[in-house]
Amino acid sequence: MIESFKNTLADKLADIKKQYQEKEDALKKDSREDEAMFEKIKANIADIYLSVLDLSYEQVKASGGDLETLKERFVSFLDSIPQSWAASLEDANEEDDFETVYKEKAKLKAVEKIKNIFEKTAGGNNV
Amino acid sequence: MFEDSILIFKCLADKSRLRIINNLLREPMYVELLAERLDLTPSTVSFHLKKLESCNLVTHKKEQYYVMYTVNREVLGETLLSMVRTEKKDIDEEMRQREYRDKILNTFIKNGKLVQIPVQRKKRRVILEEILKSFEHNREYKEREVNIIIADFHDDFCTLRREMIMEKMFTRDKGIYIRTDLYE
Repeated sequence: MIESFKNTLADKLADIKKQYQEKEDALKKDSREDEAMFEKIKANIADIYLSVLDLSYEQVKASGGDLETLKERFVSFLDSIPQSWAASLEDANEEDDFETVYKEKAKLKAVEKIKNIFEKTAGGNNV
Repeated sequence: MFEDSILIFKCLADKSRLRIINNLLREPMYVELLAERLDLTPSTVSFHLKKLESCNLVTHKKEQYYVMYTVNREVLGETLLSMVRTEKKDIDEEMRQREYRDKILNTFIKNGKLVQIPVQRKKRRVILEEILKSFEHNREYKEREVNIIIADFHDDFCTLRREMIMEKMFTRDKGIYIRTDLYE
């Protein structure tokens, strides 16, 4: 059960990572470097959460935890990791640093998408 | 000036931004309209406009409910030639050097006399170059003649003469000094 959930979520995360990468390549070929950079940022975020999922799974498995423990652990990372990006976004807004603003927004947007994917995979709002 | 040109070239090296400029050349527009016409998200258009604005290629003005963006034709009308040439930069550097030189000469030479030999090599070289002007090109000087000319500026002619040799202002052979062509 826990392994099946982990594999399903990992497949979905790998899939959106691939989508972001394909979009990045297409934008680069179309001489749209900045837009490509934002897709690269999003692909990196998907990659981070793939690693987070792997790590959480290994830890939960090692401690004899169940599926709910895995979900809770993954959700805690969904909440904690973006906190520094949100803080950086706030600082950039105050300093009128629009490039950083857009970069941080791209990260947070990718996390939102991952959150949605997780919730759907986990079966709605029961997490 | 040169740095501004680099920013502009970098900014323009993007297809979406070129498309935005092309649309704004037709008429001033707001973000949502540009997004619709270019099939981009408003957020993406907004980013590109900020980037263009940071290079002074577009300007914005609030009109009722919308923020209208306009191409800055003055900057866009600059020729490639004027953007790539470095002449102005060279002139600025030359002026800066001349000002520095004048300042050193005014500080260390009073009424044609060197009041003190500068400790700093860069400053000392300015003084030595000034003394060198008293020597003719393509003429042989005996050491005694060199000493007399330098002594007009400062009593310590030995130090100054030695420094001038070290800076390759003269060649010296068997007590004969000839001014080199390394300095004007």
